[in-house]
Amino acid sequence: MPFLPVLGFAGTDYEKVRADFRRVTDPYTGKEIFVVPAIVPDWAVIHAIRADGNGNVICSALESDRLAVLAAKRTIVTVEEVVDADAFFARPGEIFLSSLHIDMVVVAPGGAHPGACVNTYGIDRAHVEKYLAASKTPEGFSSYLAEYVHGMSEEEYRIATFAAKGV
Amino acid sequence: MPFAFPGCTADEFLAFRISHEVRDLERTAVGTLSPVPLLGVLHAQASHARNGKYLLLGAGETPVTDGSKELFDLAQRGKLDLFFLSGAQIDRKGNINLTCIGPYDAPKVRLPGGAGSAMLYYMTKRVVLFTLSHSPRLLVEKCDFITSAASTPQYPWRRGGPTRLITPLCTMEYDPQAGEWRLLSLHPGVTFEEAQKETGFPLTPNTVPVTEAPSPDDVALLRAQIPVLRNNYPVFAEHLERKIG
Repeated sequence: MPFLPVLGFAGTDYEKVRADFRRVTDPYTGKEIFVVPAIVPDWAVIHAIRADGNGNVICSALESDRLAVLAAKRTIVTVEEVVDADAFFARPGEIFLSSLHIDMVVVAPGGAHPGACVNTYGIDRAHVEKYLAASKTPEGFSSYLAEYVHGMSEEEYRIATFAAKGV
Repeated sequence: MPFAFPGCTADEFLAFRISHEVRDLERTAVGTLSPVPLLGVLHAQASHARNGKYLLLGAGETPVTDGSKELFDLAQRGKLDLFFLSGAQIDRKGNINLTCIGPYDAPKVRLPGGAGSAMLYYMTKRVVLFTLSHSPRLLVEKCDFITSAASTPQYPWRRGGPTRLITPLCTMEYDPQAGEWRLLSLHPGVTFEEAQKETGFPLTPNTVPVTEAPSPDDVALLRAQIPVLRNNYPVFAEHLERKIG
């Protein structure tokens, strides 16, 4: 879909700063309506809950994760685990996303940390607070990166953040 | 502006006013980052509006499978009766700013953005605005940037718009003819002069009733909703519990 008609927007300042929000004539009613162009990201990277052996995944239904994958040119989906066919189904809050739309599936247990993974684990509040405090200054942000990103392997990060809490 | 509410916290007082705006048998939605409206709607759902339909983002089970898209589509189809919005600025004409403070090209503060409110403000039948503080910086003569417009030429057409503004000092009603707020009530202990001093546009009329405060039963019912709030607003729930003591 190249663009989408949207109701509303008239009288706002979007028209002053977004030349790509345009008014067109609705061919059915003859009235003017706003249209907005499609967003086509080069990449979408989302974290999903589980994959099957064929690269299909089950992801959160409540965020726009699936929409982002359907919009992007290339896509990577990280997943908590790969499961057998008989365990591959969507629970409430989850939705199926076909491998047709996915370029690469990466197994990354705990991959949403410190964010939440639907039906799997919640937000790590203490870690988010630590990150927020650190990222207030360039020095703090650098030291956060040094400690958690450059300073340890993925496995070490998992142990430091998840295993330490017994999750 | 520190000011004591009778028998409850400021958040509970505001939530009780929110609850009053909820009508039974309607479709009511609460968006993200809205713990006070959520508390109010949960109170309504547990008291006078048990048979409504609710789409409460952040209240455990949400009856949608398509996230916020499903909420936006519901509103555009004309099936959303009540929604809640706030802003970094709200102006005399009812416009909302969620984009930036200062000029757009060189903002003093860059804000998170409208997140659909430009459409929801048009397409929801009634939108209740709420603010957690009341100051001339927030309630301004004119927004630095209009993210959501209150009353514009009916172009292409609009279904609804603002009806109420609920602040820690007063409630206002929106007059769609004049395209402006009218003072509706002042909270217990607040004088007109105090409210006017904290508001960046002239308030009228200057004689209004006192806002009805929640009864002890209502306060108890509000507090019974805290476990639901804890799901998505753990920090808010903790603060509320601490204030309650």
